[in-house]
Amino acid sequence: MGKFWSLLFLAVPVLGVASFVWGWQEKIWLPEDHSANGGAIDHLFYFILALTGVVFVITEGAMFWFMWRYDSRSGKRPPTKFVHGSHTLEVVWTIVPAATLLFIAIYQMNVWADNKMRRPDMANMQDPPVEIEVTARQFEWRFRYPGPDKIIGTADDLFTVNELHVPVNRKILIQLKSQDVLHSFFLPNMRVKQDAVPGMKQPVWFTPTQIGKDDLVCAELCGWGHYKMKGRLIVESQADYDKFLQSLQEYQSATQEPAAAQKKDIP
Amino acid sequence: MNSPFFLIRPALAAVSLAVLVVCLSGCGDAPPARFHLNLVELKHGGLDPVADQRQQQVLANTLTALFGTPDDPYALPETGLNIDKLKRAAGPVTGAEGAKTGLYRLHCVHCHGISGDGAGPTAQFLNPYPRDYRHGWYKFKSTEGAFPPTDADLKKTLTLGIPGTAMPSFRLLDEDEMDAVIEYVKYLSLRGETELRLSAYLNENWEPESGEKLKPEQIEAAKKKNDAIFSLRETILAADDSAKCDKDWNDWKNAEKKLIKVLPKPSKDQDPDFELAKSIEIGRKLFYQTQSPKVAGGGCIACHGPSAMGDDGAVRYDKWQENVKPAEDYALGALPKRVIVPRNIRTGIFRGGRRPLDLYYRVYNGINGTPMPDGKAIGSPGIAAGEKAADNSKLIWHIVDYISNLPFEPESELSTAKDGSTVHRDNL
Repeated sequence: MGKFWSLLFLAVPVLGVASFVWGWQEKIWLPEDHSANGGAIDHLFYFILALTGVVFVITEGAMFWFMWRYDSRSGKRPPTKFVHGSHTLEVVWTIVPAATLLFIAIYQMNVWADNKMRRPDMANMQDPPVEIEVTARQFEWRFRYPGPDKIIGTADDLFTVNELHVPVNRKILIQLKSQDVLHSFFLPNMRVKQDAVPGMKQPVWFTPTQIGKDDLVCAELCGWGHYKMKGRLIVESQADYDKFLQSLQEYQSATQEPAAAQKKDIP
Repeated sequence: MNSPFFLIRPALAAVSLAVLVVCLSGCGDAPPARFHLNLVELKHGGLDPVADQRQQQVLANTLTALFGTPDDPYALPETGLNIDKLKRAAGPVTGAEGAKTGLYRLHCVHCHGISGDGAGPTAQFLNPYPRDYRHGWYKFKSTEGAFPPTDADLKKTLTLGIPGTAMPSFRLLDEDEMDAVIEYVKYLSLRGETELRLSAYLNENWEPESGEKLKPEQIEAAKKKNDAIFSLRETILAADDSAKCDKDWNDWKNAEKKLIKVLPKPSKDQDPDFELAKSIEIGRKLFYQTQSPKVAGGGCIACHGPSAMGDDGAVRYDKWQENVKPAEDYALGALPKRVIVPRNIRTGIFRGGRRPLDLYYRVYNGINGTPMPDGKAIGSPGIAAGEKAADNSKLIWHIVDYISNLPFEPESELSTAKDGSTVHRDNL
C-alpha cells in the first residue's frame, strides 16, 4: 500500500476545491442575484466560505504531509514528545475559534436585521413598499394584491395564482400565510427563504433590481406534490406592473364574457 | 466460531441476494396501461358485472376500437377531437422539459385516474373528490344547463385551479401543453359517455347465447368484414335511439353555442340611481326569501342556512355519488360516499371563480351535478294572484352583489383569538 492512504487523504482537499471551481465554471453555482438585498447575503456567504476554505486546505494539507512524511514503512520516526496537557495550547485553540465565531456573529448582525427584523416602513411616503399577501397551500401559491384603496383585506382586492408580479426597484413586502401545512417561500434569485406557518402571518421583504422571470419554489417538504409546487416571479417595470394590476382589475370585475376578438389570457 | 453469531454473515448475504433478485425481477416492464370499465354505472344500468364477463369483453373491445388505449388514443373524426393533441397528453411520461409527452400521467392521473374516473391513488384522501370525467358533467362552466363546458372554461379551471379544493393551478404549463391536457380531458369524457350509451345498447340487444343481436343485414356486413367489433361500432354510429353516441359528441362540439346569455349588470353607468348598498340589500332579501306574495326569491337560505355558512347539516350527495350503494359498489371501485356540504359563502373562497360573472353563472345555472339548483325561477310571479314576473337577470345580479359582499361583512371578518377576544381574521 505504501503511501496509498496519504494520497487518499490528499484527494479530499484537492477534489473538494476542484468541485467548487468546477461548479463555478459550469454555472451550477449560486443562482444569479437579482436583488438589492442579496449582495450583503452573498458577501457573508463568500466570507465564511473563504474563512473555512483556508482552514480546510491548511489542516488537510498538514494531515497529508504528516502521513506522507512519517509513513510507518519508511522507518522515519516523528520527533514526538508526549505531554500531559498544555495550558497555552488549550487556551489558544479555545480563544481563536471563539473569537472567530464571535466576530462572525457580530459581523452578520446588521445583514440579519436588515433582512429579518427591520420591516419596511409602511408609513414611508417617499417610497412606500409594495404590499402583497402570499398564501401557500398544497400545492400552489395564491397572491392577493390590494385594490385601489391600497389595503389588503377589502372587497376590491385582486387575486391571482402562481405568477407573482412585482415592480422593479421597489421594496416588496410580502405577508406570508399558509392555508394548510408548513411551506417555505423560496425566491433563490432574491435570496429570500421563509417558512410559511399555518395560523401566522410572516412578513418577508426584498427589492428586485432586474426585470425578468425568476423561480418561486417551495423549500419545505409539504406533501406528495411538494416537488411541483412551483410558481414564477415576474419582475417588471412600474408601468408594466400597473398595467398588470389594471388588467387583473378588469378581469376580476367582469360582468360579461369579452367578445371573441377581445379575448385575452387570464392575467 | 463457537458463538452462534457466525451464521449471521452468510444469512445476511443470502437475504441481500434474495432482495436483489426480487428487485431485479420486479422492476421489469410494467404491463401496458388499460382503461377500466365503469362497472358501477354498468351495474346500475342493469348489467351483472360479475356474471357476464363476455358482455364486458365486447364492450371493452368496442371502446378500444372507438377510442384506442391510454398509450395509443384514437378518436373518430366525428368526435371533433384532435388526435395529435391527445397523443401529446397520453402515454407514459417522456421528453425533456418543454417537450414533454404523457402530460395526463405527469400531472393529472394520481387524482383523476387512468380512465378519468376521479379515483386515482390520491383521490380517497381528498374532499371533495376529484372530478369523474366519465359522465361529462362539469360544475364550473359558462354553458346552459347540463351542457358540456367550453374549452375556455376548462382552461380557466386549469389556469386558476379551484381554490377550496385540492385542484391546484397549472398556470405554468406551456400553451400547447395546456391545450393537449384539455383535449385529453374532453376525450375521457366522450369515452365515458360513449361507454354508458354502448352498455345501455348492449343491455337491450344482448342475447346470452349468440352474443350480440344484430339485424340480418348487419350480420351479413359483419361476416363480410369478419370483424364483429367493427360491426358493432358501425351499428352504434348508425343507431338512432339511445345508443346514438354522437349526440354526446355533438354536444361537446357545440358547447360554444350554448353559452349562458348574461344581461348587463345594473350599474351606476346605466342607471344614475343605482347604489351598491341598495343592491346588496335587495340581494340579501332575495337570498333569504323562499316564497313571497310578489315574486319568487332565491331561497338560498334553504341550504346555505340563515348564517350563509352552509351549516344546515342536511345529508346530500352529488350526482356522481347519489346512486352509489355502499359495500357492493365500493367493491367495484366506487369511492366511499361523502356528504356534499353547501358552501360557506363568508369565507371569501369562491371555487368556480370570484368574478361577478362567475357568481352569476353559478346562481343562474346552479352547479351541474350538485344539489345547487338553478335560479331561473327567481323573479317569476309570486303566489299572490295577478303578480307579474320581475326581471330574472336583474334579481340575480342583486344576489351576486350580496354574496360578493358577504365575506366582507363585519361578522364574517371577525374570528375569536386564543384569549377569547375577537380579531380580524386576517390578523389571526
